[in-house]
Amino acid sequence: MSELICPHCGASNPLDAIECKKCHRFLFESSSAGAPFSPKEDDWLNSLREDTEPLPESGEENTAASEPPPFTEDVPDWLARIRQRTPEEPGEPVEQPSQQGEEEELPEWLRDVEIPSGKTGQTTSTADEEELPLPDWLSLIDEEKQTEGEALTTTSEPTETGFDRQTGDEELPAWLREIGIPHEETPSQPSAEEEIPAWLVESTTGEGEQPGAPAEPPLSQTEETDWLKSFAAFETQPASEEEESSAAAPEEDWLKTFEAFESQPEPLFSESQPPQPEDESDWLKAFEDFRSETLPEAETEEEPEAVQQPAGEESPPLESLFSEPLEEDWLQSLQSLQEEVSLPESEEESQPISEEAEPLQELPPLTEDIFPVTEGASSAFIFETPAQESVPEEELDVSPFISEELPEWFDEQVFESAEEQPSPAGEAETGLEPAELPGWLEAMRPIEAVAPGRIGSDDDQRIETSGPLSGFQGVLPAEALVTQYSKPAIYSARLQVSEKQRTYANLLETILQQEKQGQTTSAARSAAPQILGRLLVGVAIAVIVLFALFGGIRIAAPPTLFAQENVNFFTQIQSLTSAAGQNTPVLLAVDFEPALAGEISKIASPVIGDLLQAGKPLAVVSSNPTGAALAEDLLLSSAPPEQILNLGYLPGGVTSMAALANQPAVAAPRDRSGAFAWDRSGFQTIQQISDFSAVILLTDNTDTSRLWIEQLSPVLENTPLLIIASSQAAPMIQPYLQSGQAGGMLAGLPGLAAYQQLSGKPDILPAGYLDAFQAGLMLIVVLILVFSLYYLVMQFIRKPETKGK
Amino acid sequence: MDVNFAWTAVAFVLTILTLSYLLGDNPFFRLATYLFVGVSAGYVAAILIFEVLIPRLAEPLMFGSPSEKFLTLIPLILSLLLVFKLFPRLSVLGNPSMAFLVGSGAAVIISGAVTGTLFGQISGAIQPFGLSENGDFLQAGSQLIGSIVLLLGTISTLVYFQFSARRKTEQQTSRNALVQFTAFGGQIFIAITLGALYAGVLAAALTALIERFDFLRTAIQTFLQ
Repeated sequence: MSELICPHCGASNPLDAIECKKCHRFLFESSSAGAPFSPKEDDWLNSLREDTEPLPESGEENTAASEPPPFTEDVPDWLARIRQRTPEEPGEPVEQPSQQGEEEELPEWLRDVEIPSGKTGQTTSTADEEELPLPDWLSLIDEEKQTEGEALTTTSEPTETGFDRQTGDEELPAWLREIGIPHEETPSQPSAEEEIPAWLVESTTGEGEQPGAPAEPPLSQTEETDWLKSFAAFETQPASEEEESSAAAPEEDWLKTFEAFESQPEPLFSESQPPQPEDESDWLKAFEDFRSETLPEAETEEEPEAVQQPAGEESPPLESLFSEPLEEDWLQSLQSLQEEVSLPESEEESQPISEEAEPLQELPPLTEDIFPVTEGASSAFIFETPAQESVPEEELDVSPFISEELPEWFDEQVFESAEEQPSPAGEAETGLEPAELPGWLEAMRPIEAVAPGRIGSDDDQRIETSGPLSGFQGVLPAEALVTQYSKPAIYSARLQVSEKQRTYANLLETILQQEKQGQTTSAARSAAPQILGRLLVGVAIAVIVLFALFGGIRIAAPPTLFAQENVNFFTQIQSLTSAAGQNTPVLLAVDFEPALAGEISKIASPVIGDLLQAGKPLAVVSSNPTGAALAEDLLLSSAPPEQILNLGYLPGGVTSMAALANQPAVAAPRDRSGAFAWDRSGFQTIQQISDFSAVILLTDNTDTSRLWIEQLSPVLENTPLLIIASSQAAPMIQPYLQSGQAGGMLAGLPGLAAYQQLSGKPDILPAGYLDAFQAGLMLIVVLILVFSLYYLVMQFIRKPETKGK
Repeated sequence: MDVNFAWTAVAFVLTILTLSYLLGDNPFFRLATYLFVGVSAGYVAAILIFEVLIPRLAEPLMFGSPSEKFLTLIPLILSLLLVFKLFPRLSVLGNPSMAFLVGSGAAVIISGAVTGTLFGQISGAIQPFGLSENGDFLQAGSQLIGSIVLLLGTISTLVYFQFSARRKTEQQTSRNALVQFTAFGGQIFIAITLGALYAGVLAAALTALIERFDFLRTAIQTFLQ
């Protein structure tokens, strides 16, 4: 954008360069080379006026063809020359030189614009557009024209009659012709006939009557200060409505007309054009007819020659025109380039202009020159001359000149044309054929070339910016993944417990805490006194018992009142011993432990002695393993062997008791020696338990005594069940005595004392036993009372403390 | 030396060792207890072997009649199965023997308890109210009072073991006032019974102590002779 490209060698040069720094040739050859472009002259209108001023040096053709215009006072010269050029007919050979002379006087920019509008100039325009950077708005207009022209060639047959009259309009600038077309749709603005410039009236009349006739000066020339008004009228006034428009002459600036042209929507134009051909002005119709008729001629080879001929004739006046040193307009450079461009031999008309516009963009020097000129002007002069490297990017750039003032269709077309341009590289790729690689080269291809799919997603367009893989695309985004991870969510491990469960848990915790604490302090505090107390109690009992046993002190008198069970027991024993003729065996059930053998043996010895003395055979059976041995020890001293049947241990517990109660011979068939028991004399009559004369139970256990009573009492019938029990088992056996299930009982030393008293044998109970027993019991009762009072007092003493806590 | 003197001396020493517990737990007392447990276990094993297994199992199998042998196989098999209870993996095999023992034992105990204790105690509680059998008014009156006390004691003791109660407000559960009063009377009867048992235990222990002291005196007299 900021450099000039040399047309000869293609080298880039700065903006202010006159000649190429590489090939040292002038960047602007032809006449413009001598008059270099000066960016200081920004006003193109000024240059336009200067271009249209009469040249000091004019040729013969110019002087002959141009007559002194009658309106030189009011109308600018360049417009006057345009006026003079309009009546000239390009098809008439006679007046062709004069016409050429008029065209020479046209400004270059108008001539450039005029090229694509005519039939013959179409090929030249295509050739020029390859080199000249035409603005897009012009190319768009040309494109529209071309489409219209194609349509008109098919539908404009009736308008061919006016071809000769309107050929002079083809020399009008294209943008002027475009302005005239949409202006027809707008309501015509009437203007006074006297206000119309004479030259314009002449031109319109000339167009309507004879196109080749020379222009006549107007009859009345009014003082027209604003020449632009007449120009606007010339642009917008159709020939058919000339009279109407002359009645109402608008006092508006020509720029308003141009703005109206810009604001006119394109679709309205394209749609209203075909059905209303009669609304068009005559001169426009003639121009369109001419263009439609000359389209077939453009296909011939004569067309370039016809175009080149006037172009060559225009060069001398142009050189003289641009030879002035002050003429530094951008149009000069444009003209110089136009002259240098060689016209192509032939090109087809069907080639779209949009495709031809691409080479035009490859001329950046002109755009750089033009761009500063166009600043502040309309956006229609935007030249898109992007750099060669970044063509697509610059095409998408929105020009700052595209503002709200522009119509929408213009902006859309600008961008659509920019987007629809295919890239040359893409066209080249489509035309290439795939090469056939050798095997070894295919093997060396990277994995991406042979893999079915591309490694990595196409969406991942990130490029590694750091590390050894810097510059690669699609690498694993390790850093991004690392940043995506975060700490896992923290979930509460607390149990959801209800209030009830919490209460239970607290209660359990309290219990466990109490178990952990224990009572070590109290135990440690009472350990020594307990030992001392136990020692003192033991010593006291021992001393009292020994003193009572061996001291000869009479503490307890023999009992005079006897318990009923004792009396019953004595009665049953007395009945057994009194029956001397009946030696029915007596069953002696031994069920006590060796620990209490001293008590049971002392109680049972007198009873067993009485039975043995009476000759009663005794069958001894034991429900515990030690009972049989204790029974033998009890009976060895006083019983003869033939009178004793020791059945030994009766295994099976309660079942053996039940078996013995039901079938004694089956439950205990043999004695301790293994001999059959029930064959011995005195025991042969025993078939069942009731055959015994009495059953005497020696027991110190409440449970075993209860089992014996439960199993024997139902089956004993009239056989008495006598119990010799320890003092500790007596309370639990007492109910069975009261119920009659047991016939009598002797329990402890009191029972023995009672039996001694009942039997009248005073030596049964050893001396001192009862006194020691009574002394010991009295001591125990005293100790119980003393310690009970002690703890009672201590409880009253400790109570306030516990209350305080 | 007479054998009786020897056994008397052994008994004397063991008695002294046992009475050493008066000074607290000591090795002498432990020696006596361990010796007693060991001798008792050995004695029980000998009793079981020589008084149970041999005469009741071995001899019938070896020298008994076929019927005796057949009948002896049943306890033999059950006894062998009971041995498998020593092995946890094979303890299932001992279940039939245990079932037989528990079943037969429970049946005997329940039948004996019902016929020997339940019916016998019920009749024993009713029997004192048979005043017609007694002609003496005072004796009958005392028997009646005793029967009433016995009845109250029995009822109050049974009511004491009635622990069911209704839940009242403020999360407090308490028995009925009448039930509480009756239970209190039963509590007194239970306390008297337990006191009697405790007294019997003390009396039995005291009698054994007196007998041991008498043995010591006799033994000492024997040793001194």
